[in-house]
Amino acid sequence: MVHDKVLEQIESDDLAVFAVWMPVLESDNAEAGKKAEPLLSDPRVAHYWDPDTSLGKLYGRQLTLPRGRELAWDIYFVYAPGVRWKDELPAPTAWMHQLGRDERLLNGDTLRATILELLGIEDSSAEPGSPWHLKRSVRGLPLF
Amino acid sequence: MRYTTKSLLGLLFLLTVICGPVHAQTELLTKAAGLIPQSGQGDEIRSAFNANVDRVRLMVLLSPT
Repeated sequence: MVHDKVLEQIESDDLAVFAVWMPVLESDNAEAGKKAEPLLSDPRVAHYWDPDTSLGKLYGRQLTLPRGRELAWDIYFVYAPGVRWKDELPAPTAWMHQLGRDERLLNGDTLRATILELLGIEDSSAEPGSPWHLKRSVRGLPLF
Repeated sequence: MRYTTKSLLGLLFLLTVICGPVHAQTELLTKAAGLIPQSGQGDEIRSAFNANVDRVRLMVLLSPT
């Protein structure tokens, strides 16, 4: 989804992607993480392996996840330019997930539009007058 | 004497309750910030994140399988 909706449709080098692979399912391990890299094959993507799911746990403490989950995974965080990671994990500018059905449920078009908006690029796929265009104009994005 | 012992035990309990989660949080943060690319080259994730501060950044957390 990220590959099709974001990497293929947004060519800007002003986008950097951090793919953090972590062991969640029984079949997950470092080797599987390495094998998964081609799923997000792009020079703008840096791949990481999180053996302790430490990043997922941190986000899980910072955010309210669906169904009371404590581990953040299958989750997508967008950060605007200027946001720095200092002593604390920075709050995302926007985020989506696939952990349950709510207003933040991942939608590839919304994710792409959110990123385009932060890049200052007009979304050519959003037709004026369409519901999606209205959503954008009122900033109806699931911001943090 | 009893009062002193109880006070000390109470203080110890409070320190455990307060400092335990803080320590766990710090440890998580340290580990998370120290994640290095799978290739074993390049910056730790926090350094890379901040090195791209002028860019829009997308962070995705995924299970590989």
